[in-house]
Amino acid sequence: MAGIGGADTTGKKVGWGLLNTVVVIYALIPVLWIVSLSFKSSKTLADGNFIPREWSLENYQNIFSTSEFTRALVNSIGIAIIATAIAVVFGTMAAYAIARLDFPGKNLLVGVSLLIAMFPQVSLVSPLFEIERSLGLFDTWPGLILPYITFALPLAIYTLSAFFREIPWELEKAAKMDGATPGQAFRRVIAPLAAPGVFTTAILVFIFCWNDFLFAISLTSTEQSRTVPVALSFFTGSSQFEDPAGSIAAAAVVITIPIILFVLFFQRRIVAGLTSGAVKG
Amino acid sequence: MDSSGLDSSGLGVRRAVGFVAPALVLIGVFLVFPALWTLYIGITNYQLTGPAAANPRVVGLDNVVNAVRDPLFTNSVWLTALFVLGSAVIGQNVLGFGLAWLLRTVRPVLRRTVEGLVLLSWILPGTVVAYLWFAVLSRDTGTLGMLLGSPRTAWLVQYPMTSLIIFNVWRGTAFSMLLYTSALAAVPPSQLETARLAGASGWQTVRDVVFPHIRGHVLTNTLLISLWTANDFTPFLLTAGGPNHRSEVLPVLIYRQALESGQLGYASAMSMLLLVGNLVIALVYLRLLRRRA
Repeated sequence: MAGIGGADTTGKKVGWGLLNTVVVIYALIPVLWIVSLSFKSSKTLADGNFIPREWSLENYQNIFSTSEFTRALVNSIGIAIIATAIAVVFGTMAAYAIARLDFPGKNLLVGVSLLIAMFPQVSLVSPLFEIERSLGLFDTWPGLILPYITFALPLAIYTLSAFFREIPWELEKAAKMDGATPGQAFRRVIAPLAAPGVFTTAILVFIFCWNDFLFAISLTSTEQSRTVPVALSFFTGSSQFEDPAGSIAAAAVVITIPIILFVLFFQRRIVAGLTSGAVKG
Repeated sequence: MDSSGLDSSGLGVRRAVGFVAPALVLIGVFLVFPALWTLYIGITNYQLTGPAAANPRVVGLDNVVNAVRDPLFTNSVWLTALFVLGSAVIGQNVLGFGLAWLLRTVRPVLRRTVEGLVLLSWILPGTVVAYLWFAVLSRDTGTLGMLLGSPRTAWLVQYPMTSLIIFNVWRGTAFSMLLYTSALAAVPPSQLETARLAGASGWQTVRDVVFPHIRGHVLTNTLLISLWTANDFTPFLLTAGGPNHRSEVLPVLIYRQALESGQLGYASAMSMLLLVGNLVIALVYLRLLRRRA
């Protein structure tokens, strides 16, 4: 097709047509449609117009005036950041040991963490529910943070190991020969080389925690620890008879913003992180 | 000197174990233990409420036998197979490869734009995209209905599985596309050039020149997206399994049995069966991969 069959112009045309359709479908549906809904006033919400006839901030004012949403936003941010930080630290430590050292059961560890990454999340919901109820973790921040860390770890270890394998470790030896202490060698030479991989993993883990719905709906029951994806599904509109579609759209835009920023600024990193394990491993 | 090859970072082996320990402890407590617990309550009649909640009884493999005889379960297995085959093995694979193939030669700006948009659909929160699709497919005000000029079609009610499959292709293509993009970069351009000079058609080139190079990637990709799709819970947000169980894929059935009906034992037995299904897929994949070597 394009590029290969130089004379194959119909193939080229079909290719371009397909590409354009894909761009339109992927762009139209995800971002633009909710943005448009979120700026419509409650009167024009259901008119089906793609561009709002009258722009209004009504929906945003509504959601930010209810504790239902603001509390959930605080929960989402706090839980995702704490879980990401801990998962990345633990994951880096484990991946470092796996990349640098030979110890018994090392390959088994990588294999098992891969296997666990394939575990159906839903099959662990009921035992986690029971465990958390008996430990008093149910409907608390740690009650979500701990399972998030655990579920992110296998993937983090796997991705980080793939990154760490690429690091030229001889540089460390060279630094030591030039008189650097092990600590200095790590800080000055290895850490800067490892930082992109760690950063990429952090983005992926954060996105996983930020987006999760299943754990968040099964392991919480009140506003105290409910995150935004779950709070969305409980939205009823500011009055009983109001269509919540506008509020949901506004809330959806708010939780989508960090994700869109990530994609805008770190697209190449995210792509590298997603494919590194699968391509090189 | 030899020990430096083993341990060049200056860490002792014992300290290395210390490095791995925190991750292992967490995985043990919150993953392995619950997994074992699932296996255990899968052989009991444990329930969320009622007499069996206080004193669960071991019922052996009764749950598994009941599941296999349960029309809801067999229905769900077929729907899950259809879902995986239609949306992952065929849909995401073919669309992902097609996009990667087309994007190979276009300008970098366009390529990055398409990549970004496709990626976005993959990493947006499930609740957000489900809500969007709900808006797109809804009966009276749905965008699709307006575009097609048939505003009275309730897509999610009349064609629940078709809607879910299309939804999942849209949502999941990003991974396949990105993976195939990096796989295609490894195909030697000289061989593509030779194929072009020999007058091979696009399809012949893909089949005879490209595919042998990326066979491993195709298998890895198919395995990963199959497992993700089989375990995917997003259908719950779109149709909640309805109408009348017509789109109740396994994760949705398990969730509803466990937390809505309170049949924890029965639900655990069904998740065990889902896990076995995953393992079978993984084993088939490993065999195919080994045949290559």
